[in-house]
Amino acid sequence: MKFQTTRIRRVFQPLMVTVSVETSSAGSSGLLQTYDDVSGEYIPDRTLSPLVLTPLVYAACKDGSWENGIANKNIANIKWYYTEGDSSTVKDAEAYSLLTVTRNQSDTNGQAVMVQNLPMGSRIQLWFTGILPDTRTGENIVVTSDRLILATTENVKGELSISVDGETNIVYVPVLDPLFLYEWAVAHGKAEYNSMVYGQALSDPESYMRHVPFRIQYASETLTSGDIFNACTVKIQEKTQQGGYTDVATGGRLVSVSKSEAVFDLRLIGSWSCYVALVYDGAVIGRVLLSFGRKYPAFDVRAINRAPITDGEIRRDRALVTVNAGKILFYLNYNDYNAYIDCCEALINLVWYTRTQYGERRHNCGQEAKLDLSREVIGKAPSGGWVDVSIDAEYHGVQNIATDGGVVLTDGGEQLII
Amino acid sequence: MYYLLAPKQTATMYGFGINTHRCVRNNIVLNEIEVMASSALSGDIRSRAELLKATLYGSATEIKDRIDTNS
Repeated sequence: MKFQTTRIRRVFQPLMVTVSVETSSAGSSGLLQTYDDVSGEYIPDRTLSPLVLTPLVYAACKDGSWENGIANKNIANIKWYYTEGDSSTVKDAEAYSLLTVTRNQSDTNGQAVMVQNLPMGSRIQLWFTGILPDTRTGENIVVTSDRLILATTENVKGELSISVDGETNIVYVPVLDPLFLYEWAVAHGKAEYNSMVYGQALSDPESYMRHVPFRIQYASETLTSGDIFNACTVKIQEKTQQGGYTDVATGGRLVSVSKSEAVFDLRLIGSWSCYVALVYDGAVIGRVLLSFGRKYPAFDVRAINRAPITDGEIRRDRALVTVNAGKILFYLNYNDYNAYIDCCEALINLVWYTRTQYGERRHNCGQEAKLDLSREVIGKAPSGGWVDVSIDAEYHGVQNIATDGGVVLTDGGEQLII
Repeated sequence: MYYLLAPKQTATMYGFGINTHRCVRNNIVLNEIEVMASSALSGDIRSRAELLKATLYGSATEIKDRIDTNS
């Protein structure tokens, strides 16, 4: 009697690594300072309230060969770097005494403390790099964070001023965006359009359509009408390489701007900074810096068809994606916790691979795989009868407006195609 | 901007970390932004200072003078 033996081999799946920086000083406002030129004080003053930046490196592997979780203690050679203004010269933040860095064998490994106030009008970009040794394979994985923008804004003195009502450091978490997920689900026939659900998603504080409210003040009075208010305009500006300012046009990243708020499309924004400028009588009276960034929570991907294989089979596999987005486990595939069904493709690029003893083959992208095993040489011998199915997965990055030869594409109306 | 000098014991009870703040003897320095942003506290800055058993200072200069005198 012959027996078919299925050989099981150890193949280490690649580590999925997520890198971010936690700001633990006075909330996110710790990245931005203002300078009061009358009192000569920085707000906040970092000599009193230091800016503390903690690297957060999460490494996970779906085959159980790695202890999933925060991997800070394993990171070697952590270095913090920065650039000043629009300069491309990269400097070592420790060597230039901008930061002090703690290196230890705990989750605070690489924590940086900044006690310096940045001079008024200055802006720096700050990030860290390190090496995560994959002890299973002997490979070194270089980890690099997104760039944080630190700035001290100009505070043009006068009776007339503008301020932002809320966060000036805006962080977009695509996984938590119900508007993006709902639109994607409707566009792909996975959810029925419902104006009430759409309205709720549109007004959700995590949605990509981000409203940033302003307040124009004369002395201590908030203006909403009157001659002075009517003579004011508000513009969104970017700094130029020459050190000046240029207006940001509406359409694309900036959806609209009025005297009471600006609306940004965060799908099109990664790491970016701009200014809210108050213009009175043709002159800019004051500017407030807005800083944008993104956060990508760690995720896990598994192929959920574990049935045995036979030669020539058309095998259908499906990816189960789970994202730990904070307090709840956010199942992107199932309708738990009011999440939307089958949305993981909207956020995560999934590419399917098979591997036999004869080599690796790339298959289709997407949440479902149709694997034609007749194209594989699986092998009949007891030592060769196996196929590894793996999924390469990474977050989609910043999106772009679709164009054709420079012509911006729309849905036939005013809606841009992203 | 207000600054507070709060005992470590009460500050940690309300979620402020010792490792992420400047310490002065048995106290830590908190600023108005983070105190007002704390959901563990309520009321205006004076009420929050009372809950923290903290001394309230009206400016960075004021608290710096105090810290310099005591350190």
